[in-house]
Amino acid sequence: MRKIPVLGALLLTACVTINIYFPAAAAEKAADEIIKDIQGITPQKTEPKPKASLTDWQMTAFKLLDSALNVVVSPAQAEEANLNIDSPAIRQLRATMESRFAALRPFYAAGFIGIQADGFLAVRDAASVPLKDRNQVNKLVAAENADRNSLYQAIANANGHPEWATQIKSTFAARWVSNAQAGWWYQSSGSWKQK
Amino acid sequence: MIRTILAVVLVLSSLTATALDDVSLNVGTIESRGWKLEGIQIALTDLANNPQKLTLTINKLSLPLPFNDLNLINIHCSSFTWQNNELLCTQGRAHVRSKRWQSPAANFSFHIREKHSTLKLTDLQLADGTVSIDAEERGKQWQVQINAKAVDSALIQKLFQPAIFELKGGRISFKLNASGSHALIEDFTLTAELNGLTVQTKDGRFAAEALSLDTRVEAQNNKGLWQWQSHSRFNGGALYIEPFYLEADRQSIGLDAQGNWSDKNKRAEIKSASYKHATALALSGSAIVKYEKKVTLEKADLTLHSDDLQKLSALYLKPFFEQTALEGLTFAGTINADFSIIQDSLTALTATVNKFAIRDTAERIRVENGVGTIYWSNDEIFNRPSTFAWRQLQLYALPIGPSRLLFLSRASSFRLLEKTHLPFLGGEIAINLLGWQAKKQQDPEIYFAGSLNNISLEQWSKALNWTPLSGTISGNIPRVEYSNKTLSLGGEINIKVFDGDIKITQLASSGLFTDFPKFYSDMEINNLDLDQLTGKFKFGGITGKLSGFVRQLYMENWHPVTFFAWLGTPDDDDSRHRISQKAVKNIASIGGGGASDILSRSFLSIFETFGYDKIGLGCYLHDGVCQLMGVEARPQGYAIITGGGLPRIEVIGYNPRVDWNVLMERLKRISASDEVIIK
Repeated sequence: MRKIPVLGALLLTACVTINIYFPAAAAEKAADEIIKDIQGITPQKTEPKPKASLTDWQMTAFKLLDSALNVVVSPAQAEEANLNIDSPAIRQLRATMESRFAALRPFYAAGFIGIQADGFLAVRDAASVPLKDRNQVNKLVAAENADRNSLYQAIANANGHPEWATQIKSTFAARWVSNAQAGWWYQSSGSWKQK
Repeated sequence: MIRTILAVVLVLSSLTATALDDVSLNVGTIESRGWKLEGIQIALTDLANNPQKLTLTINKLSLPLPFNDLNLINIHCSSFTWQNNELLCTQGRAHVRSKRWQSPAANFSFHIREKHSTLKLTDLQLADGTVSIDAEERGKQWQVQINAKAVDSALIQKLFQPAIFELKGGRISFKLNASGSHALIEDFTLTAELNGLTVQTKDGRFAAEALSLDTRVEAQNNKGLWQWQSHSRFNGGALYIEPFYLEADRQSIGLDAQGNWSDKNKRAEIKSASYKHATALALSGSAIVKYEKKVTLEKADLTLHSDDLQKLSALYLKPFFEQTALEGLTFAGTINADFSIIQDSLTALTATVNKFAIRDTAERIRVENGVGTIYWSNDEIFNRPSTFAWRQLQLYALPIGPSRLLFLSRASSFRLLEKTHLPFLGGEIAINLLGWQAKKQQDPEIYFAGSLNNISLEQWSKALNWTPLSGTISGNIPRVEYSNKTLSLGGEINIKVFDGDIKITQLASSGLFTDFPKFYSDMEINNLDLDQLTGKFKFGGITGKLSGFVRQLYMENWHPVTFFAWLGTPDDDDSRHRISQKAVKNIASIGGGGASDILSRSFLSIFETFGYDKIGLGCYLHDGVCQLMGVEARPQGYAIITGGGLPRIEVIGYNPRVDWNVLMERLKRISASDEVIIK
């Protein structure tokens, strides 16, 4: 029997699979960008420094190999998939959420609200919220959650894959927690923890 | 009849062999119509003395319904009589036991007879307070009076577990008079005084902090239909009843109501109710509430009066405005309103407002000194006209002078009934047609037709804090309609301004009434007089004409996202073309070029104005970047001004791509600087 070269097999499978699945890494990047923007955190741009350990001939060899691979694997497919996060609906939701964040912030800090495991906000203990703030906290949380849901769907729609909304939601769920500021509460394994 | 289960054991005892001191009798159990006395022992003591003492000890006394949860134990009656069909204890001590409550020994007396029994307990200790109970049974009838004083609510909490309420502090005093027959309560009067009560439900939707409240409820049961009256005064502390938050300030909040209630029909009829919150709100009327699966306001006719709409809106409207487009709005003035509700929906409203004001933290609208009467009904054929007049109206930064509207409001629509002239910035806005139709979960439908007459651009630019403009603006706006999220024009909008005209076509918009409106338009600009346009402009004076266009303008939230615009000297313009030195310098700085440096260093700086042949600048905005173009291409850029006459000047832009925000900043800087320094 004729053997298919291992490299060839890898290349063939790579061709088929790259763009079919949900671009998880790109979604994470997009989620971070959106969340940081909403929460007014300016991301610090760090330039990746090239490794200096490769000698010139090694670099040349890698470049040649890279061009050879590109002949088989279309560059368009090999390119890192990006998620489009620019549509009127997304811009609108981001603008609303950004302006709401100023009102939410003190309640995050006071621990009245927290991020649930599904990425939605919850009033952690309704009874602990001062009476005069209680209605506002409830309304803020409800409005924010509705917008988060709409945002996930809007991103999915903007990328021509409305069915991605659930995956976008779960990607965001982790990123909301990751981007939470120190002292904020989040839910993990069913219990509330403070960051 | 008193049934005695006699396990009578007579015990005679003597401390000494010579005298008989005590005689005791173990009776066992006595039962009479729900009353049950167990472990009865009657003793005749001090036989040597006269009179001898008859004492009774009972292990347990159980009471008939509805007091069957309450037992008295370790009863010791030091003054006791037992005659035929009659037991009397006038002085006793007993411990109270119920499922939830154990009291230390309290004073106790009872009188059990064939047809009339009484029980009295005083100085019962309950949750750091005292309770007395006075119960009487006559035939089938009974009555009870419970008087509790300064009971600690936090301790009460421990007795009622699990509870839907969480009581954290405060004292409760109450008096309950109730009477009935068998297990049926026929009437009761409850007077309660809550002092500094802090309580909330587990879900936090109802809560009180340091609440002081006096309340009295009277109710009579008429074959299952309860007739009731209640009076409540909220005197201190804070109350949260979702979504309202109320604080009792100096003037208290009161609720008086009366009506009937049938648990069988799951229906409460409030025949009259009156709620008064100082000057903020007086609400009275009648209502029918059903609560079968959910609570439904079946019918209500209410009258509302407020001498302080500001307070009313802050307390009772703001909670509903949170996180909606109405957030930030407050009202002031006075209001008298009558309204009807059927099946949870408003069906009719009449409201008269005086000294009415609307203020908005987002400064979208401001009304001062409004007066009018608004009639509204959900009936599609309702036709009673409403009026509303104001002294001052401001939409965003634009003030509209005093005027009056005559309109019809019914169901979800609004229609102006007569042509209206609104004084606006020295001129007027004439409204020939105006209509509004609200749509469920959609943008409303709106139509408008009117004209602008002699509106002062100087006042306009001042109001919007723009660079001062001069001249007036007039124009005809044919029918503009906004429906299905689309703004459409029945013709063109023609505006006469700066001696020229601007034609607006292809007007479209979506989400016009959201906080993220999108707006599309094309514009044609013809022969604007630059002298008028730049007359009061800090930009610097220019004479000549200006024509051009803005095509495919797309704005989001009133910020341009894309467009292709050109403004320049028309080809057939034969007017005088002069441009001031300041304007040259400013135009040069738009492109970020170095023309101004050349100018300031050159001999040309001695001239005040220059002749020019053509002036023109275009911008194709895309992705936040403005691709600039000028009148003519030049080897390294584009000419914004080409020279004509003497002294001749040419301004060349070298920077074809400018960030839109940077461009706006430059324009702002130009319009903000009054002086141009030429060295």
